[in-house]
Amino acid sequence: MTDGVTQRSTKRGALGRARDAGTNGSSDHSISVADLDKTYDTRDGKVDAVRAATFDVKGSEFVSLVGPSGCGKSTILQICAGLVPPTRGNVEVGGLQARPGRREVGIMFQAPVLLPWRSVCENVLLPTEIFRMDKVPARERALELLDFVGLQGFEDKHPWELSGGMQQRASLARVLVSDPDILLMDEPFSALDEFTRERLNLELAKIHESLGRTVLYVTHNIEEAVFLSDRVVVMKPHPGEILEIVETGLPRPRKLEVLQEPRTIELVIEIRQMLFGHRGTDDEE
Amino acid sequence: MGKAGTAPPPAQQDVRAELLKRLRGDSWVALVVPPVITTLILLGVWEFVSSSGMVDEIILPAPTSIADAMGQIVGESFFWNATWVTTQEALIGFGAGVLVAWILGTLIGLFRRFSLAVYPPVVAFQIMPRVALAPVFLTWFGFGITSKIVMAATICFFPVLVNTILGMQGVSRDARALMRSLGASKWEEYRKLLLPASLPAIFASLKVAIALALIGAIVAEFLGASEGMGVLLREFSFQLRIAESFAVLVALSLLGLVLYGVAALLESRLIFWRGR
Repeated sequence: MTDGVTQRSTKRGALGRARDAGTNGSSDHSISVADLDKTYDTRDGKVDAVRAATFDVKGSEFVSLVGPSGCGKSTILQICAGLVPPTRGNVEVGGLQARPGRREVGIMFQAPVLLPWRSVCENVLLPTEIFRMDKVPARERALELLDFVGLQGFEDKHPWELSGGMQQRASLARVLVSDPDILLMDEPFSALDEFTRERLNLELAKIHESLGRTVLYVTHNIEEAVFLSDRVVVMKPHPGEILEIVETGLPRPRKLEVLQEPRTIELVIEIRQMLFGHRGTDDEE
Repeated sequence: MGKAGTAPPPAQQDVRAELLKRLRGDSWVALVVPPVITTLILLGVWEFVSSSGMVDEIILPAPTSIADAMGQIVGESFFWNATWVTTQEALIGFGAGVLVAWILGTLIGLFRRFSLAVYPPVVAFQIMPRVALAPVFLTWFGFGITSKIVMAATICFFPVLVNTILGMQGVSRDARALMRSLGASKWEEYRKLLLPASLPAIFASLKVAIALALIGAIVAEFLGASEGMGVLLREFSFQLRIAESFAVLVALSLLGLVLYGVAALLESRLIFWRGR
């Protein structure tokens, strides 16, 4: 179950591109954030959640946004998902203005957000209902994906019968069921225990490498960001600004040993020092 | 037969130990035995107080007298007729009250503007003691079954309304964000998220509402009716047939219990994910 991704390599082909031709005209799987500002009006006046953020994520690239609470990393992700409008600037996802309800963009939250009245399989099928995908192939794909994330045999269970890690696996299957080209992930494993998180991150790396999706990943864990990413966008809070964008240059496929490589440790220390340099404004973490 | 004969009689000790073990645990014995004992003690004291003459039987008839009276009226057709009338009033009133409350609550939960316009007057209506409306309903709808139905509906309306709204408001922001990120329409969001998510709260309120509906029907019957358990109760009391009055009271409690039980059963069957 833990190593589900590697064992079922034969299924990867089927999972890779299950989408019928023509549903996604665009072959642009990149994200581009240009000069983005986000200001919230609160009772205490205006708060700059994000200021002048500019970065991009190329097709099939894995990019992390890392920084302490209040640095605006989640806000940027929500803007990319079209859930929050930007105050200023331009955000393009897959060549189009960011907006919700796109099959080629999938979002995953910190909480698994499984609906308790639906079985695990029915939860995974939710996006296919909204996107009006054909029922029979959708179900086939959902079962395949549950197998893929290591939940074979749990499809008829209800969410509360699953552990936290398994719930997040189901959530991962749900985001993959509509076969998105771009994944937006908002601290997806941060509520899980250390071991489960590490394991799921390892599997996420494998999924990214084998399925070749573009991933924008938000986290406050520097190690996690370095381990997973091609590039790490380092952010500071109050106001939320990008400090630097770090190219990791670590070899793929990513294996657990990567965590012990000197280059990884160097990067983690480098990013940590970047963030500590701004400690004066950072009082939350 | 032979088997029963050869089986050793269970040792007294074992039975006691087993019973004690069950009483301590979460088994049904632990749940059933203590309240039964309490009830029996209360009935015993009551029986003693009444039949010993400490309290006049006219004021407080003994449980055994009530049981006698019960046995008598259960044989009478007027009793069953009254029970049927009251049940009908309570159930139809319940259905109407719940339906209107559910629709209104759903609209209030779905549409902010509608909620702003409608919710304050509804709350004002709730603050008014609705039992006081009974005489008005009597003049509006007459002595027949309608005024009782309207009263029952009015009185059980509010808890359902409030719980429908609370149930919809209690849906997690993440779940709403998920639906929005998928591009779900308002109807899809309602159908696939808000409705099922609000069902546990709605069903919880139904158990309260069914009991309230019965109260509404009885109160309206007190004020003016020709049939029903409220009428029966009033007539027995006027005739100082207190044992019979108590018997009707017991029957009313049983009726309430049955209705509540049906609501609770439906809830446990339909809302299998409650509290998850």
